[in-house]
Amino acid sequence: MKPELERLSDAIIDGEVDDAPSLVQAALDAGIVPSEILQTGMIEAMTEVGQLFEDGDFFVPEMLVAALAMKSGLKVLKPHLVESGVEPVGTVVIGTVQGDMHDIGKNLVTMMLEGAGFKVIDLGVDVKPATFIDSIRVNQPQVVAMSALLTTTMPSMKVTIDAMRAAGVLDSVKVMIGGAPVTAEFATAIGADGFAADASQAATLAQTFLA
Amino acid sequence: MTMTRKERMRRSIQHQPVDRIPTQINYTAGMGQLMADHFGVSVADLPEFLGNHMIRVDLSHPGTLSADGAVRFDWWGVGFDTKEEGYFAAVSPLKENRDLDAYPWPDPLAPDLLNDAAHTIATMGDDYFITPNFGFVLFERAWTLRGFEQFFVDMARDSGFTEALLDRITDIQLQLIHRYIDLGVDGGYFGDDYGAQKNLLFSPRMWRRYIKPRLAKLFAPYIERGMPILMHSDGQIQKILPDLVEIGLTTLNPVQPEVLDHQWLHENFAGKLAFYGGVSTQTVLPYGKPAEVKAAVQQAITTLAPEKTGLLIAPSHRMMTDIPMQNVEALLEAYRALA
Repeated sequence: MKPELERLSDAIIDGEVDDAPSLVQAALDAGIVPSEILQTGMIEAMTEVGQLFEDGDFFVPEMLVAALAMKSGLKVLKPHLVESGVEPVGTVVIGTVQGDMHDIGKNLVTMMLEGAGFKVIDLGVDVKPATFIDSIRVNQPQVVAMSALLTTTMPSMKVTIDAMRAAGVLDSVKVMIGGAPVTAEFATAIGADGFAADASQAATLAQTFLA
Repeated sequence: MTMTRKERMRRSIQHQPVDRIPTQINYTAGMGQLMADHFGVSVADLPEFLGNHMIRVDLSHPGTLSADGAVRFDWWGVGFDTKEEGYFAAVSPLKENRDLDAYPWPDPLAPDLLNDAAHTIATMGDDYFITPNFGFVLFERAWTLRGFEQFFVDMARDSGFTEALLDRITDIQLQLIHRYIDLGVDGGYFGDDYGAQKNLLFSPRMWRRYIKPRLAKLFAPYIERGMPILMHSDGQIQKILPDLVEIGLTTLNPVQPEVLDHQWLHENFAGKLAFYGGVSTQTVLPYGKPAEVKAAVQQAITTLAPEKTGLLIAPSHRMMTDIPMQNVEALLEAYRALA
């Protein structure tokens, strides 16, 4: 790896929020193309963060500051990505389902998806089925991600999928779900395409949907 | 020999022989109303009707509602969403301005703060095991005051601020604990969620640095008086359980079967820890058949308390409105069969 990218990658893994922007700038100054900075210096760093989380070496705080470091670096890189025509790897529409206000898990998933190079449309919490459907029509995502923390709001996931089917938009997307009480069996039972147990797995699952 | 509820509870969590395993059912306000209607008893009489053994007393502070009624602010100034059946911290007052000296901290020595607790102890203290309710005791109090993401970033990047915030909280909680003990509670009850469904939320290293020494301070007044300490902590907390035992935890809640393997718990902690909970509000109670609910009660007792003591059997969490009444009936039948 080029030394500039190695320094950037290390800074992201270590959650050095303040250093990431200048390290992105240093990589640009060294003449490295924006797509390579993004892929090698940032997305691959976040993949490693996800792996460290899976292995139990990283916990939520470490994952969070890594995602924030990537975000601060992306601010510098973004105009250069746009200029050189680099597209996001895919688009995800995400939200916590109707009746549920919890957004901690959803926000972590959003960060890891962005870390994996996705464009993420975050609809927030207590999202009505119609809002998901409108957003699918407008943003043409490959993936829709739904979250619920409570057993009492899990049924909203099925209601939303059923509404998407009735509106004729279900076939154009892959649906993934998550949240503490949610299981793979439940995902299958309500017609979702996949289930992820944590934010890192959610990013991996979204990538498999693109393949 | 018939024991009072208090005696049965106290003996069971101290691993002494009991006439039968003590039982408990906690529930949300919405579920309490449904059960009261279904069984034809008043909400006030539900604890007795359901066979509860423990009462948790709260501060005499009704909370203040926002003008639109959407948010209720608790004693500490954290705003909770009123539409939700769970707990959702909608307003974290230290999110934007983290100046700890400028924050209007609540006064733990305010004169009328323990009036309701005193009344409950005076009227029900002979029969019930009474603890103060220190839910959201430390970590959860810190993150609800500061905001979840902000506090996690603080923990990762600003240990000075993190420790200063936790110290403020510890000082206030400690003063309250001394007042409750003077009032005559039977033990300590703490709630603080350190785990998610798959792992701890933060590393054991951080827990040992930030939480453990302060929690030990809060446990100490009870330990000095030989009183039991009950604690609720959700999720995968296996890695810090030995630490909790080390600083004096005697009873663990909720022992949710999907997350903490009952067999493992008993093998590793029998005699050192008593258990409180065990029947899943995530699976069997909302989705199981009545016979499965009864089997889950039996299974939890067989696995967690083969010695026929050391357990307060209960749903793992507050029951919510998604649990069908026939499963509540099955739970009660299983409880009554223990007598």
